[in-house]
Amino acid sequence: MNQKKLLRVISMIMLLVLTTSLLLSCQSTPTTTGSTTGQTTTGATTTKGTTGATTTEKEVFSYPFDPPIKLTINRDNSPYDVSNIDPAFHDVFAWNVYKEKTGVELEVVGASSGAYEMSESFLLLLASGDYPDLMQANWIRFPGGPQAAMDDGYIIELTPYQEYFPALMQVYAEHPDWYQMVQTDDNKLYNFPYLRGDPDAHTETGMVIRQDWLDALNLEVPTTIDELTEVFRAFKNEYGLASAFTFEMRWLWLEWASAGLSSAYGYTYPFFVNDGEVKFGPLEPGFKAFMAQMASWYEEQLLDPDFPSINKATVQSKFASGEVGVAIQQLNNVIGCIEANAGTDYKVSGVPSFKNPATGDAMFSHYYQTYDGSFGVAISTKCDDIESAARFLDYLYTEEGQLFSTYGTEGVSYEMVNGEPTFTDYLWNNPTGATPGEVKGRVSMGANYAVIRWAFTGHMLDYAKVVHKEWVNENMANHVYPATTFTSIEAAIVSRNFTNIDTYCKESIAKFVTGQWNTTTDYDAFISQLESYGVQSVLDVYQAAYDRFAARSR
Amino acid sequence: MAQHLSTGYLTRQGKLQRFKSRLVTDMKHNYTLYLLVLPVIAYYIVFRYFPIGGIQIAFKDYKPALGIFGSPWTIHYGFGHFIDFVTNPYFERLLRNTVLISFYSLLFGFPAPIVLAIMLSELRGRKYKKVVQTLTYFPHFISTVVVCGIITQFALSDGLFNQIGQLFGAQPVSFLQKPEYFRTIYVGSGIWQGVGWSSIIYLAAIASVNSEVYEAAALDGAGRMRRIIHVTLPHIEPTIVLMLIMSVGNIMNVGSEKVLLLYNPSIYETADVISTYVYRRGLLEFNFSFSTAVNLMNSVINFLMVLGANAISRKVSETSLF
Repeated sequence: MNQKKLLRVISMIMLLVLTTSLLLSCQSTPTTTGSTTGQTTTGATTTKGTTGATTTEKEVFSYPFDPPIKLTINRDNSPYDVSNIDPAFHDVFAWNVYKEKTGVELEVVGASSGAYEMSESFLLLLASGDYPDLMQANWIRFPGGPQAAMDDGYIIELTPYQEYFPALMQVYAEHPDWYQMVQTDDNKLYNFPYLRGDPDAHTETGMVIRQDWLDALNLEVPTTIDELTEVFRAFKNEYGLASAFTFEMRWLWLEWASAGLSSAYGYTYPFFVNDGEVKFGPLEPGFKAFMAQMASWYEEQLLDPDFPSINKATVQSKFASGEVGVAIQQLNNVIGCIEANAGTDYKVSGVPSFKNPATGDAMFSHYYQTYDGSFGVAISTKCDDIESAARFLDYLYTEEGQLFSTYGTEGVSYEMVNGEPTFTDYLWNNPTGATPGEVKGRVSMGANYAVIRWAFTGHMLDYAKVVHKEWVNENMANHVYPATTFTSIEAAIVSRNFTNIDTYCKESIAKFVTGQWNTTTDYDAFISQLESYGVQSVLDVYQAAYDRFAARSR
Repeated sequence: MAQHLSTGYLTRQGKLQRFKSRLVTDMKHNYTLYLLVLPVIAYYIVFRYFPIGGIQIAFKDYKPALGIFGSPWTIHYGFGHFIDFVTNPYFERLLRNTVLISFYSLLFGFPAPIVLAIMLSELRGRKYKKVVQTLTYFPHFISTVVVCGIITQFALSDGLFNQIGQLFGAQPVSFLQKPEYFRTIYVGSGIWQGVGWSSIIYLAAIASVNSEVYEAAALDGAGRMRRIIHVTLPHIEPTIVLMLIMSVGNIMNVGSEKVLLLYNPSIYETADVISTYVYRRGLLEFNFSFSTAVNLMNSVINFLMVLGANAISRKVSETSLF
């Protein structure tokens, strides 16, 4: 069957490549010629409609493009598709407003790529040789990194075109740390990034605890592991629970989701940075102690025995129904729990990252990086009018564009109050009955595009904000392993060795916690097995990539 | 010797000539039929044979930018990806898990639809039969994602399985965290989902048995069991053998979908199979060449298994695929 499938896939690929290349070659000519030079320079206020005068007209360029132009981009659906959206929102729908304000209409070509992995259909698009003008993908994950994507002729280097994206360059000038993240190791710019500008946007997951139960038992939100254990026991005994604490096991290694807890041991999975030195969590001393603690919770049935096989919906329902009193959850699920218990005494608190008693500070928390390459938009080598493409993408980094992408349309979803943008009643009490989050999702660009994400908690209700506030841990920014790029040789080492190491670590963590292995007797064998899988070579690669990152210009 | 060979060659040549001329005449006569078959031939060439050339990426370091033909060959004379996989520390475990899951699926999953088909065919009440049939088909139409979601819920320590177990005084066990239960769950749920659907082909085979044979057997005093053993089974034997040979050809294919949905790291020991490993590895680096190499290897083994099973069956039962 598999072989058949493979053949089928390959043949489909061939057919797709053939047809798309035929279609594209017919299509791309008119769209790109429609957007070639001249129009950009005539755009806006002035009248000199001649090409080559861009330098003198740089100051006078203003949005929108006049006449309007078209650019192609890889997406699955047209961004202007409003068929699933309440007609009341059509006029203020962010993509429509974006089109009006910039005078650029996007046409969809090919398929979208994943936030982290490049999707198969996107790779087909790359293989076809006919690219849209703008290509949205995580170029850091391109084998060999963004440098290879430029060398192989997929996307162009943006550094020489800086004058066409002044707003973004201004943002970089104000945030040199961001500038460091978005360049290659050779200090080249390659895309218009998705930046989580708001520090609050870095953290969306953490530990929550039943505040009403704590109050009833005269307890405080725990700040040490011992206090936490006491709370677990108190909840289990007083409320007759099968177990007090639950979360999905994958959060022991994914996105630093349980890092607020393991922070107490100065450990997190997989890599982190301490004073310029890259560390691999399981090789750190804290790993053993953390595993022992988890195992004792599991043994005592304070930790949910089902935690390896449950999903977030089950965690949510357990925490909402009071089957457990403590959980690690994403904010959305916490909100779901609170809303399900509206009108009752149900009350939850966020638990801040635990401090490591040895060092006295909490290093980690859940973290999405400011820039990790996801959702960045690059300009392809097939784009005929680089200036227009760059100016179009630059719009959302201008002051006006940032306000629009965050708050929507002025006078509708926000107003300036004392110089500060403030959401209006349109958002808080929309006549259609849509929640503030839904309204924001329609009127603003928000996320998952080449924008800066601001006002992450701006539209949230107070009960969500207070939980979220506790999770945010500014220390994490100093310890997170940044989005570095690997050379193709390094990528091969990581691919070959790290798949095994990662598999082995996850498996071992599961065994340590569920008591199949014992930290006192099996730990040494675990470490020597890791060494035999080449953990040092992987660590060296991560360190080398980090050193190059640190040496980038700021 | 030379004489003999050359005459043989000539005769063959002559035969070929005759065949050609006959073919041309036939083509002129029945050109509509040839036109009719043309799309099918074109289909096979374009979609079945032409893409075979793409298999070469298993021996190359394929890069989309360079194309299939332009990509460089891997180290070890093009066998780099194969060696990489076989020397992987997890290779043995992946192979064992894959083969064992297939083997148990075959051992328990293969006879199940035959038994069901025979039982259904022996049923008298038409309505009852229809109901049973529909009920057994039904799981086939549930998507794997849903089935796995149901299994995961049932296998929890407070799930259905444990609630039933507790009625009989069993201690609650979180089944999907014990490596020793995974194969049972995988194979058992596979049978539950597929048994009705797979029994259709056997039901059809049984239906084609002439009812006079049964009547004759009954007149000779054969009871129900004897009729099944001596009439039904011999009649559907060719179908069984063909299905078996084809199933053997899937021994290396344990799809990643269901395993991915069911497993978690605490049961990697028995649940991690070749396809899931390739999937996880693919997440780190989209290495088409590596996955092609692994799949090619699987296909070659599968093909050899089919040949072997076919040869054995030809000897033992005189029924064979080719």
